[in-house]
Amino acid sequence: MSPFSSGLPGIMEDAGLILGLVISLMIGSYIVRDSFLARLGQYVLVGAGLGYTAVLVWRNVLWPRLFAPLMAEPISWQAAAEMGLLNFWAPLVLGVLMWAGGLELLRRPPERLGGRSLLRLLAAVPAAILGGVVLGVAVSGAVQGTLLPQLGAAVAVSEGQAGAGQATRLVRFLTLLITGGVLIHLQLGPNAGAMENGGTSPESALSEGAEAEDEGRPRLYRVLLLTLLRVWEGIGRRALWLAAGIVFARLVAARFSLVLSRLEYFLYEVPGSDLWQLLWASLRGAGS
Amino acid sequence: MATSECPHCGYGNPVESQFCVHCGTVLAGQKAPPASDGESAEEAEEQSGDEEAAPSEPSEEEEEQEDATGSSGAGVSGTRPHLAGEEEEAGEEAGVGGSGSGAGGPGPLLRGLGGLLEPADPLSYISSGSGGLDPTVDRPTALMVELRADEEERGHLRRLYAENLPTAVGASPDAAANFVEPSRSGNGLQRRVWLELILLLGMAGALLWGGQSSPGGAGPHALPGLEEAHWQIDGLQPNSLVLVNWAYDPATAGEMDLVAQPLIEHLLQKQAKLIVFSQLPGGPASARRVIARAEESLQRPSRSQITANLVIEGGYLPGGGASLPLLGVAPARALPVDPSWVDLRERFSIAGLGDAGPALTLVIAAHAEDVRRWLEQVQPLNGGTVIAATSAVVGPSVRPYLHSGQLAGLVSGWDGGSAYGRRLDRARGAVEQARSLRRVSGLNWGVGILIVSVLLGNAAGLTERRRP
Repeated sequence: MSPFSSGLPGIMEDAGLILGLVISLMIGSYIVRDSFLARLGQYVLVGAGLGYTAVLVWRNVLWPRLFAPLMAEPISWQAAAEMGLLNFWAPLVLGVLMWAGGLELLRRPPERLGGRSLLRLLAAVPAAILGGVVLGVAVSGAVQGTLLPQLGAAVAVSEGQAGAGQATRLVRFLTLLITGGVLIHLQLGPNAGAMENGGTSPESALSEGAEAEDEGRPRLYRVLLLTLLRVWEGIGRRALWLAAGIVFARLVAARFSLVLSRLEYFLYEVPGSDLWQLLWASLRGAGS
Repeated sequence: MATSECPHCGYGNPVESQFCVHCGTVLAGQKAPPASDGESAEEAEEQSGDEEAAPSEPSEEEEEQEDATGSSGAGVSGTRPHLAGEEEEAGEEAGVGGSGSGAGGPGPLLRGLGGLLEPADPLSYISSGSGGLDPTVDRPTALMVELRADEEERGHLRRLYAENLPTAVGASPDAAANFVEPSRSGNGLQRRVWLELILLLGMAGALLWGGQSSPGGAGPHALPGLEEAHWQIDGLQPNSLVLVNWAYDPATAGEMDLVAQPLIEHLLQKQAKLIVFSQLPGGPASARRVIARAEESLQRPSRSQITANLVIEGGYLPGGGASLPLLGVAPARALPVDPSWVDLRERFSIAGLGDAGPALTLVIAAHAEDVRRWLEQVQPLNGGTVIAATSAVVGPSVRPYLHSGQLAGLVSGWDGGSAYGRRLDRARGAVEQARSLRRVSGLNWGVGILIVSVLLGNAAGLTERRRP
């Protein structure tokens, strides 16, 4: 029998359902007014979540991967390297350092430099290793998993190769147009096309160019270039808002699903539970 | 509407608020700033009435008053961190050597979880007690000067974020300080409550009565990627190893269960061996619940035994993105198998993952980051086939990976899950059909009310604009 088949006894499941109802109502009372009950519900939720996480970390990670092997092999420091147990000792030492540093931060800072300051410094070592590893992995991952494959896909699209989304020529053109427009908008803002001339608006740039042309100087190309930039930026800006609208629409769909799930829970799941029926029957019996 | 400023972030809350709407700081017992010596209570009330009529920046008198109190109480910055910069400047000008941190004492360390508690502020914690570095000399050290500069900068940022204003590209941030937030008038908040109530009532009504209507319509629209995902799972041989990254927890289960369950049902139908793990603490529990439901839908006499042979709980894998590369190189070593199920590990030989890799990887994620992490950290290392089942909002963000071929299939949102479920080869019970119908009605009503509200809001905005 797998852990997925084993469930709690029915009465416990019902109790969880009722408890969830009570805490949901406590937190939901925030709609009416920010109150003690709303805050209590939130803190219970956060506290229970943290407690559950602590148990899970001990059960899934700390005990089976660190403490159990160390206790099973009572070793000396000298033999640790030979037995490959540095894999256990190094994380243990670094973890204890972090723990000690965290506890130290709970206290008031030391008045003089000494052991406590040294502890604070040492606790920064595992934190630095952790941060460095996370950043290194993130950067290398972004390059190997997003930047290169996406660039490759773009090249494949432009060369008309298969497997890259079956994009038509129109889609390729629009991709180029919108990407360029958004980049121009993000870099230069709504004044793209006016900044180069030092003017405050595209219209001023146009008039300036026209005046220059009247004077006989060939500045028409500048006007055309600036107009192109302005139009391209406008397309990019509108595409950006369109994309934001699409994301917002999907966000609304996601959040509505969550609300519906909660409402369904109140309207169907809770009234259908045995414990609720029992409570309801006893209430009606007491009333009559 | 009279407001009182939050001592932590500076947000203007209604005076009767017990907690800050923006950051959650306790406001009980911290009413409006006390009137100065020469002012009577009536004057203070009158002043608050003026503020209600025209909410504006703090007057010079108030600022002077704050300066006076701030200079004498050096620990005020501990309780009003968003004013730390001004207070400390005032203290220095007045020649009072306040460290700006002595009296406050360290705040609670445990903060910032899920946005429910106060945001974490480790620097203020350090600075709050560092005045005691040398009790005999009460003057700022180089470290304190540096920390104070950070405080000023963070105070400025807090004010900006508290006002939550859009800033134009290239515009000066200070221009935002002169903007009066519309919600401070109170009208916007009241309308929002009504809108929320109408939405809730409309959706609840649709849930109650929507299941009784006759089923009809074409059903949810299937977005690109769904067909490919179905095809990938349908092509699995029995006993194929499938790695399932369960990247959502009960917080988003209301939507994600509806996306995940049809795919899990399909995998169990194809008799694939699932190895389920999660990087979220609540992930394994969510997986258990959904897999149990999918198991019930199989409607086989010995389904428990079948599932016992098909599913193994990989457990909780902490470490975020940093722990994923090992999963790509040596999955058998990386998977956090629950020790109480070692026999299952032997029986199903997870070690086989290390030799041939999974036949398929399914990432069930409520956030785009989880899908992206997998495609960046694991897939380049093992080159496996990946399909994703995501929240609706994640769909547009990860769709480029589908077009580039990194994702072999994508099912997003409740509509995607529902469309996938219709493709499964199994009969649906009356209860399940009624439930599905209720949800469709509820979503339709919710979206309809929102669209009407947006249209009415725009019409009202246009009307307001035409007024002199």
